[in-house]
Amino acid sequence: MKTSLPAPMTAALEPVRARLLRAAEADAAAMLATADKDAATILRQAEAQAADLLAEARERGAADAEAVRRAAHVRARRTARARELAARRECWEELRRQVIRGVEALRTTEGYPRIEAGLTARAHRLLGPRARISPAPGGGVLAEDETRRVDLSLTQCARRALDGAGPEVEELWTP
Amino acid sequence: MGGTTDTAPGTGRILRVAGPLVEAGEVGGTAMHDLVALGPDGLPGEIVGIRDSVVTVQAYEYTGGLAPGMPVRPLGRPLSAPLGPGLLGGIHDGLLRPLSAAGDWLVPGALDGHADGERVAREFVPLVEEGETVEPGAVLGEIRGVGPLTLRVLVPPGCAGPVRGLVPPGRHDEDAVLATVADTPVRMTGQWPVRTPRPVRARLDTVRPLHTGQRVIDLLFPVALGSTVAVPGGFGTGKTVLLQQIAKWCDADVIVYVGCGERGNEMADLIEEFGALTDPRTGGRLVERTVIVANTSNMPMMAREASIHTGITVAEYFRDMGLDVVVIADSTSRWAEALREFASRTGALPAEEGYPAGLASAVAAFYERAGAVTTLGGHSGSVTVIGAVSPPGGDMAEPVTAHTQRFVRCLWTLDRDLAYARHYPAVSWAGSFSRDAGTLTAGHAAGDDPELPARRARVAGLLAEAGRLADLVDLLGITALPDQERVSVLGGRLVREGLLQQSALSEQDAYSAPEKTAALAEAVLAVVDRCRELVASGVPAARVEEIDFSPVLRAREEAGPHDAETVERLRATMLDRLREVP
Amino acid sequence: MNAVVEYTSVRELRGPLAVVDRVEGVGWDEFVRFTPESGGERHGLVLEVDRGTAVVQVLEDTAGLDPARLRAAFTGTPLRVPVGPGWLGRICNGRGEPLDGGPPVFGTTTSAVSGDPVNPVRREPPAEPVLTGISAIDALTTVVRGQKLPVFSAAGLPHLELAAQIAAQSTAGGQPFCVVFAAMGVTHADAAFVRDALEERSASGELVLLLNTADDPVIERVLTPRIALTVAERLAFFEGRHVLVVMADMTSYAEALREVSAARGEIPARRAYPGYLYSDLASLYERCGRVRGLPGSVTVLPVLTMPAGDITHPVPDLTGYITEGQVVLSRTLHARGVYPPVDALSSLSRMMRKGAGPGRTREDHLDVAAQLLAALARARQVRELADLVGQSALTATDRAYLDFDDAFGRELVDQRRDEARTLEETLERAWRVLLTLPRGQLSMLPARFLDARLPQDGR
Repeated sequence: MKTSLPAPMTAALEPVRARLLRAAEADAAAMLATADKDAATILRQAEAQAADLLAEARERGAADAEAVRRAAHVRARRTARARELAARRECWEELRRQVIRGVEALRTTEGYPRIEAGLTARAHRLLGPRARISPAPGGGVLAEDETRRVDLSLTQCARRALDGAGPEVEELWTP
Repeated sequence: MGGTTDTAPGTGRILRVAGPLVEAGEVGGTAMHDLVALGPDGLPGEIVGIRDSVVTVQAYEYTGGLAPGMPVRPLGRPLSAPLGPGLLGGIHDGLLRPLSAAGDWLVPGALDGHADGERVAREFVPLVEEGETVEPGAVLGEIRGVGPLTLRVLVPPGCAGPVRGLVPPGRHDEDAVLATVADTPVRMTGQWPVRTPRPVRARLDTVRPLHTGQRVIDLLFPVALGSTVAVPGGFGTGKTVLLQQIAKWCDADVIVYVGCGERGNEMADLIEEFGALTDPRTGGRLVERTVIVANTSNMPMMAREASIHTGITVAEYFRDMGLDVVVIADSTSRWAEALREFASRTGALPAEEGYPAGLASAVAAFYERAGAVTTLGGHSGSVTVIGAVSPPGGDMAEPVTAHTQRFVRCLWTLDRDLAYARHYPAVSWAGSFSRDAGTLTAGHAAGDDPELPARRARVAGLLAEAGRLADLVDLLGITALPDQERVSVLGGRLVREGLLQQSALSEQDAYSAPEKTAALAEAVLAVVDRCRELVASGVPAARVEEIDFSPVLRAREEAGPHDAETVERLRATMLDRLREVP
Repeated sequence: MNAVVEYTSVRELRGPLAVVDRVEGVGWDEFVRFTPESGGERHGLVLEVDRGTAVVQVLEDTAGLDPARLRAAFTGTPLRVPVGPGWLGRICNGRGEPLDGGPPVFGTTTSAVSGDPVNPVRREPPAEPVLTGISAIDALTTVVRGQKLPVFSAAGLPHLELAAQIAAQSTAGGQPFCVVFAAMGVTHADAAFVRDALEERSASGELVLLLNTADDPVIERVLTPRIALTVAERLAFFEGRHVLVVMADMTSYAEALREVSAARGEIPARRAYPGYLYSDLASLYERCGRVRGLPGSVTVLPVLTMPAGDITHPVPDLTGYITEGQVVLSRTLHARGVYPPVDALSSLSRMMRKGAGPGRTREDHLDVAAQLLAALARARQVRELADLVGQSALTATDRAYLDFDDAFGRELVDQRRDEARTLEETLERAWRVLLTLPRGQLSMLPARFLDARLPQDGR
C-alpha cells in the first residue's frame, strides 16, 4: 500500500518498519515453534494413548481368550462328569432291572412253591395267624388285616433287597 | 442304672412319648421326683406328675426310638447326687455321671450301667470313737490326699446315735461304709436328693467378703460369701471369660462350675486350663478344688434342669464341711429354656414369652439355696451363687433377666458398648449394683482397710461425673467444658484405663489382690487430685490433657498380683512428672 | 423288618400332620414312609406316640393325599442316611437325592441324622487355621479348624458369593480337606451360581453339595443341615479329613423351623420363633470341633441375613451366643464397591489366638492384626471428628489415618471374586497398608518387625 507521505519521511520510517517486520517475524516464528511443539506433544500423547489402548486391548484380549479357554475347559469337564454320572445311573438302573426280572422269574421255577410257602409263613409272623393271605400277581404273596398290609410280592422283595444293597453297588463302576 | 427287664417288680409300660415328655402306666411304688429307667436301655427320667395311675416323666436323654409298651422301671429314689471325694477334679454330666466313663460321643445310654470311673481308694482318718454318740452333721472323720483340701465325712442329717462298726484308719473304697449311726450306714460317698436343700442349723448374720480378684467388682460391686449375683450380658460381652476368671482366682475353698447349655469348646478349654493352672493359695492345681458339671447346648435339654440342682447340692455338701463354696452357673437362661420346653409339652398354659408360670419361683428357689450358715455340725460355711443370664437381643426386660434381678443381692451387668470399645471386664458401673457393698465396706473400714469407703466413693464419683459429662463432650467437644470438668473427664479415663480394665490374658494382671487394687486406686486418685491442683493454679486443662500418663496407666500390667510396691513407685514417678508442669 | 408292614389306618390329615391309629411298637422320632395309592412316595417323622396313635409330620406336606388311600410304613429307627466318601463330588437336593443325574449315594454305612453330642472331655481345643484366601478374613478373623464362625449379612449383600468363594478356595495347610455346602431356601438362580462357583472343587472330589431351593418343601429344609453335618462328621472323624461345612442361609432355615412349629400348634416365643430355637441351632452348630485322638475336624460356617440389619433379631442373636465370633458384612462398604464388604471392627474370631501367630501362621500375624484394628478404630474416630469440624481442622496425623483407612479398603480388603490370596500375600498387603502411617503410630508392633521393614530413622 502506498502512503501519501513525502519521500524523506518514508526513508526515516524504514528502520522502524524493518524493526516491526523483524519483531513480527520473530513473533510468528515463536508462535510457529510453539505450535510445532504443542503439535509434537499432542502427537506424542496421542501415540502414547494409542499404545496404552493397544496394550489394554491385548491384555483384555488375552484375558478374554483365557476366560474363553477356561470356560471351554469347564464345559468340557462338566459334560464329561455328567456323562459319567449318567452312565453310573444307567448301570444302577440296569442292575435293578436285572435283579427284579431275575427274582420275578422265580415264579416259573420248580422251587417256587417252597418260596411261596416261606413268604406266607413270614406274612403270618408279621401280621398274626388271622391275616388274610392272597397271591400277588407276578409271584409272591400279599397279606392284610383290618389295619395293616404287607407286600411280599416277588417284585417288592427284590426292590427292598436292592435298597439295602449299599456299598457293594459301587463296585459296579470301581475299576 | 442298667437295662430294664420286663419282670422286675413294679415295672410299668410306656404309654406316650413326645420328645422329653414320657407318660407311663402301672408303675409300682412311685412318688413325685422319683427316678425311673425308661425303655430297654434304661434311660433316666424323673417323675414330675402323678395322676390316677399315670405318671408323667421328664426324660434326661434323647428319647428317639422309645415306644409305647416298652418297660418303665421305678428306681424307688429321687434324683440324687453322689456326694464324695470323687467329685473334685472331675467333669460330670448334668446327672453327675463322670464323663470320663463315656466314649468320644455321648450316645443315649452311654453313661449308664457301668461302674462310675475307676474305684479309687482314699485315705480315711476317723475322728470319733466306736460307741460315741453323735449328732447330725458331726464330723465322723477326714479324707486326706484329695488334692490340697481336707474333706470331712459327716453324720447325715436326721441321724443321731451311737457310732457302730467304725472302720480303722487307712485306705477305703469311695463306696465303702465307714460306720453305722442309728442303723443308717454312712458311706464315704453318700447320696442326697438334689431338689431338697440340705439342712443347716442357722443362717449367719456376719458378713465376710468373697475376693474375686477383679478390681471393678472387688472395689465397686463387692460380693459377700453366701450372697447371690446375677451377671447378665449379651453375646460378645465377655461373660464367660469373666466367670472363668472368677472361678480361677476367687478365694473360695471350692468352686462348682456348671456349664449349663453352653459351648462344648469352652468346656474343653476350661478343663485344659484348670488342669494346668496352679492355685496360688494352696499350690495345688486349680482343678483339684473344682467340680465341673458340663451339660453343653446340644446335650439333652432336660439335663440342664438336673445340672442346676445337682450343682447346688454339691455346693451344699462342701459347705456342710465348713468350707466356702462358689457356684457358677453359665447360663441360667438355658435352664429356663428347658423349663419352658417341658412345660409346653405338658400343655401347661404359658405365661410371658412362653415361659411357664412357675419360672419366677423356680429361679427364686435356686438362689435361695445360697447363704452363709452355721452347719448342723456347728461349723461356718457358705454357698455363693453367681448366675449368668443371657438376655435375648440384650433385652434386660425379658422374663429371666427381670425375675432374676429381683432375687439376687448383686448385679454385674455387662455392657456391649464397653465390650465393643475393647474395655474388659465390660461391667457397667451405671447398670450394676451390690446390696452387700454397704456392709462389706463398713466391715473393711472397721478392720483392715479404713480408707476403703472414701476410696470407693471417690472412684464411683469420678466415674459418675465423667459419665454425665460424656454426652456433652460428644456433642460440643472437650474444649467446650470448663477446666475442672475437663479434669473430671480425664479422671474418668484414668480410672477406666488404669484401674478398671483388667486383661484375662495377662500374667501380671489376671488377678488383683486387695493390696494391688487399693494401691492402684489410690495412685489414680492421687494423680487426679494433682491434676486438679494444677488446673486450679492456672495451668490450662489442654496442657494437662497432653501429659503422658503412661506410668499410672501401665502400672496394672507392670505390677504382679500382690505388688503394691511397684504401683506406688510408678505413682511417685507420675506425681514427679506432674510436678514438672508447666 | 418293620418297614415291610404298612398301616392302612391313617385316620386324619391336617396341614403337615398325619394321624395313624392302631399302631404298635412305633418309637418317637421314627422315620416313616408314606405310599399313596396314586403313587409318589412321601416321608415323615414321628412327632408323638400316644398309646396306639402316632402323629407324624409329613415332610412334603399332605396336600393331595387321601387318608383312605394311604399306607404308612414305620422304619423302626429315627432317620439315618448313608455316609462315606461316596458323597464327594455329588450334587443332591436337600434330602440327599441326586440332582446330578447320577445314581443314589451309597455310603459305607449309615448314621442317624440327629447326631450325638461330642463328649466335652474328649474334645480337642481348636488349634490350626483354615485359610480362606480372603485377605480380610485370614488377616483379621482367622478361621480355626474346629471352630464355628458365622457370616452376618443383610439382604442385598454378596454373602452367597463370599460363602461360595470361601468354599471354593479354602485349604488346611496341605492336609486332606473338603467342603460340605448346604444351601437352604435359595432361588434357582442362586443354586445355579453356587454350582458353577464350586464346580472345580466338585470335580476334584472335594465337595459335597446339598441344594434345597425355595420351592422345595419347607420341612425338608429342616433336614438339610442335619444331613450335611452327618456326612461331614463321617468324612472328618472316620476318614480323617478337615471338613468345612457352609450352611447358607440360616435365616431361611429358622423360618422353616418357625413354619413347622406353627403347623404343629406349638406355643411361639420371641418374634414367633419356637422357644427351642436356641437349642435347635446349637444342635447344629455344636457339631463342629476336633476329637482327641482322631484326625480330621469339622469347621462350621453358617451364613445368615439379619432382617433389616437388626442384630437383636433372634437368628443372629442366638447364633452369636452359640458361635465363636462373627464376620460382619457392611452395607456402607458394599455401597463403596468394596468386595468382600467385611466390617473389620465389628467382626471377631474368638479362636484366632489359637490358630494364628508364631508356630501357626506367621510370627507377626497377631501383632499386625491388632495394629490394624487399633488403627481402624482410630481412623473411625477421625472420620467422625472430620464430620464435625471439617477435614481442614484435622492434624497431619489425623489425615494420615484417613489415608490409611482408604488404603486398607483398597489394598487389603478389596479383592476379586476369583482371587485366592496366600497368607504371605495377605500379610504383605497388610504391611503396605500399615506403613502408610508414621512409625510413631505403630506402637502395637514389636520394634524388630518395624526395624526389618523401615530404615532406622523411621519415616
